[in-house]
Order: sequence, then C-alpha cells, then structure tokens
Amino acid sequence: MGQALCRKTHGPSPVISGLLEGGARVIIKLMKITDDYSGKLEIWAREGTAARMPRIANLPSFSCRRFNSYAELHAWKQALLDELLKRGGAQWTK
Amino acid sequence: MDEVIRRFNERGVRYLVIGGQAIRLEGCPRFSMDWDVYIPSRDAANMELINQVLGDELDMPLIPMGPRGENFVQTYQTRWGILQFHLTGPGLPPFDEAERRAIMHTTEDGVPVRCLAGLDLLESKKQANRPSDLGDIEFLEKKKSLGLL
Repeated sequence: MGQALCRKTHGPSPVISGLLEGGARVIIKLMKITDDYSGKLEIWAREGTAARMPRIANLPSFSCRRFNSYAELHAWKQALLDELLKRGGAQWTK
Repeated sequence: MDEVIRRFNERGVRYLVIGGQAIRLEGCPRFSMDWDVYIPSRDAANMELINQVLGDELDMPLIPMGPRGENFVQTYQTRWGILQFHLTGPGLPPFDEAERRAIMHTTEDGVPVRCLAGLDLLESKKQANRPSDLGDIEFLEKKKSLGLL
C-alpha cells in the first residue's frame, strides 16, 4: 500500500480505502453497523414497541381444527404452507 | 386482531397472548401468521363467553380440553386472521399462575393486550425448543440481561 488506510464510518456503509503502488485506489466495503445482530437485539429490547408486520392476504381457507398432539398440529400447519406454495406463495398486505 | 382483543377486554374474557405475537409485542420485529392465545383449559364459562364474543366467526364452538389432553389446541380462521387457542402447552405455567403474573402491552394501534409475562414466555420458548424459537430466545435473553423482562 502506498498510503495509510483511511476508514470512513459515515455514509450508507463504512469503507476502507487506500492507494496501491502505481496509484490504483482500492476500496473495501465493510459490514454496516446495523448488521451487528447483537446491536439490533439491544435496540429492539430497549425500545420495546410493537412493529406493524404484514399479513398473508391469500391464506387458503380452512374450517376449525382441533388438535390432540403437536405432531398433528405441525403436520396440519406444514400442509397449509405447502398449499400456499402451490398457489404461488404468500401475497402480503402492506 | 385489535377488534378481537378489544372485545375480550370489554367482556372480561380470561386470555393471555403467547407465542410469536407476544414476542412482537415485547419489541422484536417478528412475523407470525397466527395469534396464539392461552386460555384456562376447563373454564367452561370463559369458553362460553369467547363463543359469544366471537359469534359467527367461529364455525365450531370452543370446547374444554378432554381428560387425556384432547383438543389442547383449537384453531380458527377469522376475518381478522388465524386465532389459535392453547389450553395447555410445554413450559406454560398453570393458567391461574400465569394470569397473576401477566403483563399488559399495547398493540401498534394502542389497544391494551394482556400477555404472558416475559420470563414465562422465555421459559415456554425454551421448553418448546424448536429451531424457530432460537431467535426469540436470544431476544428474550437480551431483554433479561438488560433487566427489562
């Protein structure tokens, strides 16, 4: 490297840049701070407010189901998701 | 689902939101396709009240759990989404105990909703021990470590 590396932490994502011998510039993009999963968890934990999430708008219809075991429940849920996939996947509400 | 919660609150239904929606109400932005609701397993009057409150939305009435745990989960598709009533579940404390420790959250539209306490929720997730629960456990452990559960 012809110059000391320079780290920028502002902007959309931090980068390391420097000049190679001969003058070519190299730029290495680093992981954004927001990609720190533990950091995200801490923000969400401290904030503690419910985020609005989308709903599946095209869920296949079904009538009431009563279950006697988790095996039955999971098998039914998997079948429902398989049916949704057959129909082209989930369409989400905004 | 706010409409259901509002009706439950107004009519004094005994319920506790558990599962993925309870995690979301704790602050974790997490998708769940249904609302899991814990109710006392053999409180016939409470079940009758739920049947009245939800009326035609239920195509079959909610019924008490059988002596060998039959019907321990009952699932309905309503115009507001999927409602899944749990009459028992792994790691869930007895309903009366869970009800005493319950906490109130508010939905994103400001409706108060009674939920399983954070520590009970964490325990139930640990007991269920499904791969899909690992993220929830991590989130709740973080809240616990910050003294926020």
